[in-house]
Amino acid sequence: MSGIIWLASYPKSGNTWFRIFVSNLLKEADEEIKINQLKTDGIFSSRHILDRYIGIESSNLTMEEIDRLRPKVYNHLAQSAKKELFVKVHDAYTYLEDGLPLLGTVNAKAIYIMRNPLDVAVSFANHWARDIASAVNNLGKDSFTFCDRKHRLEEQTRQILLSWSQHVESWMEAREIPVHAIRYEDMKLKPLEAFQGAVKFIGLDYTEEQIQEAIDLSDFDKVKEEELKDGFKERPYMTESFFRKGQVGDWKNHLTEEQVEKIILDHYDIMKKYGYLDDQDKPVY
Amino acid sequence: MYTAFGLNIESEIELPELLTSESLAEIIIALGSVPEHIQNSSETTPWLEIGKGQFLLRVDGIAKYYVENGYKITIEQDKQADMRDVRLFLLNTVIAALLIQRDYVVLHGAAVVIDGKAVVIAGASGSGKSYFAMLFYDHGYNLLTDEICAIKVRDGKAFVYPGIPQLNVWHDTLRETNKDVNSYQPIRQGLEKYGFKVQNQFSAQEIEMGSFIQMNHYKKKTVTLNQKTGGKKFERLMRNSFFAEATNDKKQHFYHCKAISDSVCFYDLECNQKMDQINSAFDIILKELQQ
Repeated sequence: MSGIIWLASYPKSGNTWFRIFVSNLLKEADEEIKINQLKTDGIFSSRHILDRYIGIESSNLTMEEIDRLRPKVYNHLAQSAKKELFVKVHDAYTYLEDGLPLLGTVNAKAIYIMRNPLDVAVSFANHWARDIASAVNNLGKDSFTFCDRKHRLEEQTRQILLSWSQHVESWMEAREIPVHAIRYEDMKLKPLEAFQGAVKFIGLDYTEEQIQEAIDLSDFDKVKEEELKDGFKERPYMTESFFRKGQVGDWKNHLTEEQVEKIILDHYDIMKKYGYLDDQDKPVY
Repeated sequence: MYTAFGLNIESEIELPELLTSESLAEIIIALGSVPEHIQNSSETTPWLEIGKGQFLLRVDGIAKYYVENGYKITIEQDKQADMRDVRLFLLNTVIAALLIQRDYVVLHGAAVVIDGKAVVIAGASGSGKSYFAMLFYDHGYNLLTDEICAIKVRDGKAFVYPGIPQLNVWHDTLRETNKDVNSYQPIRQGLEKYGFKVQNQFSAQEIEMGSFIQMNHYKKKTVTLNQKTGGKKFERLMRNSFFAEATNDKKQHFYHCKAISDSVCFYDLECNQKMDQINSAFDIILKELQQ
């Protein structure tokens, strides 16, 4: 098969972990996967990929012009791809003014990785070296966007995230492409079942043993150790480590009662829908 | 009549960004119709087609550009397009394609003159090339080019040719270098990127290339400047080259790149966007190059 497999997630939800898993699944028998040389195919907001195909510098285009080009570039990529391309995306699934999706939809499907927003807030704060209160607020903002400063050139193109709830909903209700959701918590607690489901959806043919091996090779402690030794090129300079704790429920060690209440208030419906709140509206994880 | 990159240009459209010339034209720029496609293209996307001696670029809503044999550029302008926009892409990708057809080695980069030698500052979009070029300008150094760095090899030596005497810089670059943003024109409507003219500190002659600095994205807490040797030099040239596949003679292009690698000092610069790091990086570069 060929085309694009979008690896979509709100930031800090396990996207890199999934990419490491995919890389270990796709590797040759005697190959060792390094976190700085993953086998996936870039990010949807990459200027490098965009500029390569449009032949001009996207730094000379407005954000709106870029958004109109992005789906066309990836549709072209998907049509001409000789194999499946695994492309990371943090953008919410939104639509352009003409009603067409921002994402390329030709020969495309998506794995959507979601994570408990209580844990996302903590990881988010660490990643951008900000306080947790700011992270909690950003998760709740429906206008939250990456790389949208107009007075300077951002490394990547603008990514409209919306709020955490809206991000999840936008992907889960995407009409134009098939989407398979996988939860970070299931990747941790029921890994074989979770990853097997994703592999089957993608359409790859791997045995249970091969999938288990790829899961083992993507173990958090292993990649954390590799980052300590060799660094990780995706780590922002202002944070000590990209791979922080990789735990479910670590929010209990960091969030105040007020912060927990705010997140639940902001995201009640989606948290309930996807199993993050129990019958008593208490956090499950 | 205009001049840029060592070439005299006759143009049907006005090119206020360029220096004027009285000499005979070597390049023609004309308005007209361009082919729908080119024959035997080795590289094709919906926006770009590259073949031997032919280059076709479509910029949605602006124009189509056709470059032939290093001699002629034809522009088919969209009816609604602003001429300022047409010129922007003409004087960037399109002229780069023409230069490649004329066997220049063309890099994404700026170039400044330090102690009589050209220093090329190359890197991906947003890595800070134009910002550093502005710092050099503010410190009294002459500029050779911004964005398109055209190099020719003669007798084993590399020469950087003077490009367009203008830095295209973002709003924050002007502000952070203490300039009044309101004094400059945006290069396009809707973009906070401005044309900063540098004719008063511009080298109008080609200069022998002494150094190449690769700007790398900002992942470190400290500034590092490391000299590179061997194959890494060649790799950095390739990484920063415009459309190497558009060259007429790939073998010659390879040898020119090798000659550049052999005769020039190459450095990797790593710093982040914090002001203290950028200023520190500037001092480190100057100290190294003036040794």
